[in-house]
Amino acid sequence: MTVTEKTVRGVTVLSVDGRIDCTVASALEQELSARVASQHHRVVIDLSQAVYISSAGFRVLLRVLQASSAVRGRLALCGISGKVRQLFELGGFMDLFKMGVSQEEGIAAVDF
Amino acid sequence: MLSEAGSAQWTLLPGSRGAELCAFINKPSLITSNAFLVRTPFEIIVIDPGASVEQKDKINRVLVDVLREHPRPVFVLLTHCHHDHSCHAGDIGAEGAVIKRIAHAATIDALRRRDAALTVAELYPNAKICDARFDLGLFGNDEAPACARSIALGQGVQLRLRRDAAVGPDGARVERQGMQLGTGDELEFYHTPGHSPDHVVMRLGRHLLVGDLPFAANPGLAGLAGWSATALLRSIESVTWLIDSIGIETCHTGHGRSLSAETMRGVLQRVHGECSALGDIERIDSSRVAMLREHALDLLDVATDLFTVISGRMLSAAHRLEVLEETAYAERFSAAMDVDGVENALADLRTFCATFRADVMPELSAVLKSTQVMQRLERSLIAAGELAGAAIAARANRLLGDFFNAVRGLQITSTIEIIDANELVLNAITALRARPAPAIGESEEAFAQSLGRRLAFVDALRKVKVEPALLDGPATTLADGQRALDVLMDAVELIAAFGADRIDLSVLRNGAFVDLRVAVRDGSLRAAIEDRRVRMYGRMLAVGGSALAGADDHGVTLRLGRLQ
Repeated sequence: MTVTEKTVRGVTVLSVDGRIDCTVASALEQELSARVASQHHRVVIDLSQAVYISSAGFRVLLRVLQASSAVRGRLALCGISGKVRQLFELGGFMDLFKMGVSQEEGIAAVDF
Repeated sequence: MLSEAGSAQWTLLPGSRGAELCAFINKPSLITSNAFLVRTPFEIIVIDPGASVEQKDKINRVLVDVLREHPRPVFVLLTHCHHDHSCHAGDIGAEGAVIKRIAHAATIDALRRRDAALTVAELYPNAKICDARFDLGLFGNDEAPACARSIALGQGVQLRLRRDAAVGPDGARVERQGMQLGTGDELEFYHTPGHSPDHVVMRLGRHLLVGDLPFAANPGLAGLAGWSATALLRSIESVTWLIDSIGIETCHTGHGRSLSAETMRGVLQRVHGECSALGDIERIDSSRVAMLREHALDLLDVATDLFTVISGRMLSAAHRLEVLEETAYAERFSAAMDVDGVENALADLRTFCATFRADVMPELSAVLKSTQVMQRLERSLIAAGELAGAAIAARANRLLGDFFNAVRGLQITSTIEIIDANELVLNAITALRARPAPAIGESEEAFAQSLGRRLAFVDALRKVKVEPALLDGPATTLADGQRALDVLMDAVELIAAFGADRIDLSVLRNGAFVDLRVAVRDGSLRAAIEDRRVRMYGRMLAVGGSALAGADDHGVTLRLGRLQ
C-alpha cells in the first residue's frame, strides 16, 4: 500500500493504492491523521487504486473522519468502485462520508 | 529441552529413583511430534523421535554426550505408528550403541507392512515410512496374559517385561506392560486405542506420556484411518482413572507443551464430550483432505469479506451511536467483534496458505489451521449477532458450520422439505429490506440496543430495482429452503452493492426442475461474484439437495430441485 499526495486548489488529495488491511492500518492512520489534523483542513482520499478494504481499514477511515471533524475540517472520499465499493455499500459506510465518483467530484465536495 | 547453547536440560522425574527427563517440545504442528528422552545410570530411552531431521540430529547429539559418560543400552519407544511420531525411529543411534526398539505389536505390523493409511503417511508428501527392525511388540496377541517377555541386551543381560492388567474405571480391565529399569523403576505401558488402534500411553514415576490422546477428537484428526470413537472414549476414561489412581503430576503430550495433571483432566473431559457427540464420521484420507483444503481456501476469501461487512456495520453503527451520544453502546458495538484479533488471524492464515508448500507440508495442516481461524471468526460473529441481531451474521455462521461439519466428517444437517420457489424469492426481497423495528415502550436498554440494530442495518436494495418474475402455477420443489435463501440473498446483495441498477429474479421451469435465476443486464455478474463465492454457492446448495446450474456474466442459476 502506498499513499501519494498532491494539492489541487488548496485541497489535499491523498491517493491510497493497494490493499488496506490490518497490515498497513496503523501506518495509514498515522499518515492520514497527520494531514487531516494539520493545516490541511480540506482533504480528499482517493481510493480508485485501492483493491481491498478490511474492517481495520474501515476503522482507520472512521478515525480520520473523527479527527477531521475535531478540527472542523472537511473530508471526502472518491473513486470507490468494484470490490471496495461492494464492501463500502454492504458495510454501511457509503453514507458516513461525503463521496465523489471522480477526484474532481471529491474535491468539489470539500471545496466550498 | 535444549538450552540456548544446545546442551540438554534434564529434570528429575518425581516418583522415580533418579530417572531424568529431557523434552523436545515443538510448536504444535503436524510436521513432527515432540520427543522425550529419559536417562538413568543404566539405560537411555527415546520416546517418539518424530519426523524432523533437525530433531533427530539433536537427539543423537544428546545420545553421544550421554553415552560418552558410560555406555548403556538405548531403547527407542513409540506411542503409536503415525508418521509424525515414528518416521525417524530407525535413525536414532550412536556409534557402538546397543539400540533396541519397542512398540505395540500393531505399530510394528503397520510399519512393516508400510501401511500408508494407518501410519497416515499418505497425508505427508514424500513420506518415508520407518523400516527399522523392532525387538519387542507390546500387547501382542500371541502372548499369554501375565507372561513376562524379555529382550537380550548382550553379555548375558536380559530386559524383562511384565504383562498383566489393572482394574480400571468401573471395574474394567486395563491391559498394561511394565519394563524394569536399572534403577528399579518400572516404565509402564497402557494400551489406549482410539486415536489409532495401536496407541499406548507410558508412565514413569508421576509423569505420564499421553501421546496424541488430547487431540484425538479434533476436527481433521477424528476420522483418520483406524480412529474409533468407542475405543477412544474407553481410553480417555482409563487414562483419567490412571491420573487419579497413581497421583500423576505432569502429562507430556505428543504436540505442544506439557500439562499439569489437573489441566489434563479438564482436557480429557472436553475430548470425551466432543467424542461422544461425533458418532459416525467420514474417514479422513488424502482425497478428502484435498477437498477440504479447496473448501478452506474458498471459505477464507468469503469469510474475510463477510467479516469485513459485518464488522463494518458494527463500526458504522458505533460511529452513529457516538454522534447520538450513546457512548456506552457505541463502545459495545466497537468492541464486539475483536477486529484486530480476527483480522490478524485471517491475514496470518492468508500468508500461511500463500506460502504453503504442498511438496513439503501435509495438506491437512492447512485444513487444521483454517479450522482454528474460522472457529475464532465464529465466536466473533456470534457476538455480533447477539448485539446487532444481524441476519447476515447468522448466514455467515451457517457457512462456517458447514465447513466445520465437513472437516469433522459429519453428515451436514439440512432440512429438506417442500418449498415454494415463488415464496422464496419474495421472502428474500422482504428479508433484505426488513429494517429492525425500534423497541418503543420497553426499557431504555432495550431501546438503545434496538437503535443500534437499526443503525447497523443496511438496506442492500435501496439503490437497485429488483424485478421478480414468478412462475405461473405451482413452483414447489424439495430443497433446503434456508440454504437456498442464503445463496439468493448473498448473490442479490453482492450484485446490488457492485453498482447494478436492476436485478431480475426469475423462477423458471426447466424440464422437470425448478430453477431460480438471478440476472443483471450490464454483464457485471462475474465481476460482482468472484469464482470462490460461486463455488461456495455450489457447496451450500448441494448440501440441501439443490445445485448451481450455471454462472456467467449475466446471471447465476440455482437449480432448486424437481418440481413437486
